[in-house]
Amino acid sequence: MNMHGKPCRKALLILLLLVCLPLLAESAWDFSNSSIAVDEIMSGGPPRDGIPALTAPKSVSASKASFMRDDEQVLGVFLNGIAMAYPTRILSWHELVNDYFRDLPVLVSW
Amino acid sequence: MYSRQIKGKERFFGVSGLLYRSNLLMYDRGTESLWSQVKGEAVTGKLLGSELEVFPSTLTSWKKWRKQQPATRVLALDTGYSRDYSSDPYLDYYAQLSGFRSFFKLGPGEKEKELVVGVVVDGRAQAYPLALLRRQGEIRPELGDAKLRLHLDPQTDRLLVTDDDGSPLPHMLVYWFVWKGIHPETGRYLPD
Repeated sequence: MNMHGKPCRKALLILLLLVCLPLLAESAWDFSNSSIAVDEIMSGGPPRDGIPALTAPKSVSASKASFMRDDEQVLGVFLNGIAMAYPTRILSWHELVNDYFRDLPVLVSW
Repeated sequence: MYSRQIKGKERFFGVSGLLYRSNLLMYDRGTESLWSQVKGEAVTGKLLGSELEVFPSTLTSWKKWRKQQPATRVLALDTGYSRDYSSDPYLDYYAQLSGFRSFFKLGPGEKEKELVVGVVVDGRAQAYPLALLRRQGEIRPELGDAKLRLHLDPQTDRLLVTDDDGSPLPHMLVYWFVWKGIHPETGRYLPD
């Protein structure tokens, strides 16, 4: 609903610019220093962070993981004395997980 | 699975939305360098040429994993994001052997999404079909001057690739089109 006429439209435009400018700036990548052919780099569809990577996500013990099905696919990792299972049905929505095995920072990629 | 400790500094990664030869490019939030997910190597930016240390992981079923790692934890459904985690959105994608528009022409008998074990020895790349390993349990191919042993344990799905001396070799389980994209000169192993 437009209650204030033109000033409101102006404010909207400014707001739109404020929102879009950082987005435009963010989508620009610096390819000047590159070891691969830049013309072979393409957009995959979703924008940057359109697929949200996880960072330090929560985990539950196996006995509490009643949501898991026996036959479902997991990426299993044993590292630094810790065993973790990453169900691929969750990984597929995020592709990357920035995680920790004790103090060791790791990247799970799917 | 990679280390995020790079040259003594912890880095955080995000999904760039860009692809290189059908391969996902990720980026680190500190320097905005782009990284090849499959190569584990920065391909642009300040960190260009840096490599990620690889840690072993196993693609298996929940049942098999829990059996060998009873104390395991599981990624929680409560990720902070609202997504439909009830089923894997790529189930159909996994099931189809073809259907991904690849950037190269397929050879006879090749399928884009055939799962292969990719190995590089002395700069020579080779892909070993996972289905073959599943059937035979073990194969002992030669790659250049090296005699390899690839072993897949059916109880745990653990994959072991070793050289003549029995020392483990880096390898990855990937789709054929992904491997071929990163190693265009690769061969695809066929038993005699």
